[in-house]
Amino acid sequence: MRLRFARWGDLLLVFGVCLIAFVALLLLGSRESGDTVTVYRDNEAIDRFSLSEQAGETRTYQLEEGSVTVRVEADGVSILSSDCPNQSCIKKGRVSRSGDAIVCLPMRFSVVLDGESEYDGVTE
Amino acid sequence: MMKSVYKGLTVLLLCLALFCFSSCAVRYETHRSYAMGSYVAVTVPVGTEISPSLSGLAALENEISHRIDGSAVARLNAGECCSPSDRLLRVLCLAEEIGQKTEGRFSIFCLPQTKLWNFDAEHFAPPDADALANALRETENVGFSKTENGLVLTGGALDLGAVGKGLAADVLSELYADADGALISVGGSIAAVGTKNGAPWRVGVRDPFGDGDAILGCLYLSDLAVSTSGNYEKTREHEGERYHHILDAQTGLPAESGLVSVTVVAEDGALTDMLATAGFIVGLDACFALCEEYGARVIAVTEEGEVYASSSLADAFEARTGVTVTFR
Repeated sequence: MRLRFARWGDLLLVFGVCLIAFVALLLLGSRESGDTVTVYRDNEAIDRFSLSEQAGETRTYQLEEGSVTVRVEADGVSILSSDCPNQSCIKKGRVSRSGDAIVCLPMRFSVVLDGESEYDGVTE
Repeated sequence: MMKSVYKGLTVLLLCLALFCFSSCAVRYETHRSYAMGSYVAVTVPVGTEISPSLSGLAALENEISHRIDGSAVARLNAGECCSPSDRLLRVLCLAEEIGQKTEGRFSIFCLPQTKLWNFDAEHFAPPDADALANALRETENVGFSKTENGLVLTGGALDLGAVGKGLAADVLSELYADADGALISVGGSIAAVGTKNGAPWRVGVRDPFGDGDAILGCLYLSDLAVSTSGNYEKTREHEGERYHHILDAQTGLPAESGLVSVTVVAEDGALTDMLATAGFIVGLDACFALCEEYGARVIAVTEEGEVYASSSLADAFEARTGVTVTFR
C-alpha cells in the first residue's frame, strides 16, 4: 500500500516519538510519592522527613503556644500530644494517604503527607 | 531523499510540540494559612498571586467577627444602627429566612447561647440549667429591622459561626474567578472554581464513622460550593459525656436529630454552610425538604450509618466501594 502524504518510516518515527513522550510523562508524573511528610507552622515548612526512614520515632516541636508531638509510623503519621485546648488534632487519629493533613488549629500547625492526593480537597 | 528527511523532521517537530503541549497542562500548588479561626487551603495554578486572598479574608473577618470591636456585627450586637455591606445584608436576610423555615431551630442570632457553651474554652463544662434558661430568654425573639439609616437588631446577638466559612470561600472564589481553576477550602467549606485542567475538581466527603482521613465518597464539582456539618467535627468532653457544637436554638442544647453529618452542594458557599447546619439540626426528612426549597443538593448520614443523597447528585457523587447510598 502507498501512502500519499507520508512514508512508513515517517509513521514509525511518529510512533517512536509518541512512545518516548509517554514514557517520559510516566516518569515525570510518578516523581512524587506519599512517603515524605512536611510539617508546617502557618505556611512555612519547619520540618520534612521520610515515613519509612523515621518509622517508630516521635518528634516534638516547640512553638510559642506550647509543644506538639508527632508519632511517625511506616504507614502513616498522627499527633500524639498537643498543648492546644480542644485536642481535635489528636482525635483526628492517623492519616496515611498522600495529600492528607492533620491540622492543629490553635497552634497553626499542620502535618501534611506530601504527594498527589486522590482528592483535591475534603469537605468536613 | 532530502524530501523525506524534511518530512521526517517536520513530523518530529510536531510530535515535540504535542509532547510540550501535553506536559504543559496547568500545574497547581496549595497555599496553607490560618484565618477566621480556620485552616485555609487555596489550590491555584503555580505562580498565582496569593496575597489578595489573605487581605480579603482579613477584611471579611473585620466585618463579620463578633469578637472584633468595631466590626459591623459587633456594632449590631451593641445595639447600634449599622448599614452593612450588600454581602452581609444578603447573608442576614437568608439566615433569617432559613431560621423561620426551621421554626427558629437554626439561628445566627444566638450568641448568648454559643458564648455560654464556649466550645473553645480551655476547660470545658456544659452550662447549668439556670444559665441556659437565661440564654434562651435572651434569644426568644430574635431578628432585625431595617430603618432609614441601616439595620438594628431587635433581639438576640449575632454569631456568624454557621455561615462564616462558606462566606469566606465565596469571597475567595470571587478573587480567583479568572484563574485557570482554583479550589478553596476554608475549614472544610469548599468552593470549586472552574475546572482542574478541564476536569471537575475532586472533593472527598469525610466519612463520619471512619478514621481521620476516611472518605465516604467523591464529589465532582465545577463552579459549585460544598459545606458539611457533622457532630464529630468539634466535640468536647465533660465527666465522661461528649458534647458536639451544633446547637438547636430552641432548646439551647446540642442538636439530636438522628443525623451525624450533612453535606450540602449549591452555587453559593454561604448558603451551603447555613443549610448544612440547619439540615443537621432538623433531621433527615426536613433537611431534604429544606435543601430542595433552595435548589441545593444534599448527602446525609444517619446515626445508623445509612447514607442518603439527592437523586440529582447521582452523576456528581461517587461513593467509596462498600458504601451504599440511597438516592431520594
